Amino acid sequence: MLRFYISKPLWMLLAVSACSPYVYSQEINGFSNGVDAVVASYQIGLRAMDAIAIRQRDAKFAADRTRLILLPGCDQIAATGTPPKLPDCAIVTFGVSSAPPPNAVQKALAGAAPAFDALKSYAAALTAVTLANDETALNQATQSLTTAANGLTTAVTKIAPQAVSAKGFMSPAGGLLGQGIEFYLDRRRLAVLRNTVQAVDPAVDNLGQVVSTALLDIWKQQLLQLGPTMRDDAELLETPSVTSLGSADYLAKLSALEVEVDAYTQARAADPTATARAMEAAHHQLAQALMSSNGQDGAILATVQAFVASAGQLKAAFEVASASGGPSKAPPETAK
Amino acid sequence: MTQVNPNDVASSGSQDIQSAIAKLAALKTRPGALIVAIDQKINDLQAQDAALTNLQLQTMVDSQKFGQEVATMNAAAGALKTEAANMQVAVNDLTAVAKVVNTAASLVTALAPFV
Repeated sequence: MLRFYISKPLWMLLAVSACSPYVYSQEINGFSNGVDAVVASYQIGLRAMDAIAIRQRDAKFAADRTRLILLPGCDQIAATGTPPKLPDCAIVTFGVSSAPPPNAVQKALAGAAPAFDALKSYAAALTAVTLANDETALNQATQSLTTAANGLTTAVTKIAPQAVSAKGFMSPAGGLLGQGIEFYLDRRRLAVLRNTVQAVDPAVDNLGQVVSTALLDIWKQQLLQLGPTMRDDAELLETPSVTSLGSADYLAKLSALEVEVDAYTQARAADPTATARAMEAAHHQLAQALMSSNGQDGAILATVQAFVASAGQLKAAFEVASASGGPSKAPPETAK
Repeated sequence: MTQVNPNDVASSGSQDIQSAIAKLAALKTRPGALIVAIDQKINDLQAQDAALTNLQLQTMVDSQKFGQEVATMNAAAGALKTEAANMQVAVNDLTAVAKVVNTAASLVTALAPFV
């Protein structure tokens, strides 16, 4: 009879372990890594846009020999006001008293920041729910309780041998208490995971569009820096007058152009729209898998891996484009 | 009244610009082509395409829907983090119970000679 009472909960635990949230930890971890790469791409892009704005401004200053001045805030080192804030320190046109406002590209990209922040926070929370370290810690605590229960029953049977019949029940009962808590938490976490991922799926799709457009905006701005420079430097080699160039001069211009073509090609290969779609697909498949509780599925893992690869390529392309810099002359205005 | 999706309009406009750029690029290989002028036109069109995407992004982030979606995501992240924190509470509780049981076992062992 006693054996029946012990074995039944154990069988229940074994059955439920297949639906544990930890089963999806690999997929969720992959999704989170992909989101991290997407957010990193956005941050690289933001810095690149700031650098472009400064280069354009400097080119204009240099062309006009503009008289400049440091803002008075540059001379202050103590934060003032509530909350305390250091005044702006910037180079401005003489007579101007405040830092220049962000341009249209910087403004729109800054407006998209909450989408990236929310996605990053959500992906980190998903990972936290399925963190393997958590499971290990709980297992260790459960093991400690089982060991303690064994120690107690051994001590009791030493002083009261008549209690020996209870030893077989007491030890597994201590373990079952811990496993029961683990079982309860696993079920509860899985339920939260299922409900949340399913409920958030449409929001991921909609924010995915904002993410896609923001990354596309950065990508087009970067190509707009690299493309005209490349075309400008190619023009001399494309015209019939190329035959008048000296051999060394020709080779130098060709080498410089090859570097530019290489950077442009790498930057152009990024596909921000495909990366955002891959993120949405990975999340959607995860939501479906959690609802059907069929454990790990090769298709989900493949979709997540495709997303991670796409996000990694995008980040690498943005890094190449940022490192390649841009023209020393002011490019055409893109947005007012 | 027909609903116009700004994203569709922007995407369509972008495709038209890309198509025009491709046609211009093809002209560069013709004899006597004004390469500098064609390049300038391509640069201008690419700038217009980038401006269109930027406008599309600004329209998206200005929409009320965007704020709602962000709030939904942040609420979901909060719920998940709370659940993750429950695990730590359970670990702490189990560890505390194990300590109490260990103390009880030590007490029983210490009292054994007097029983």
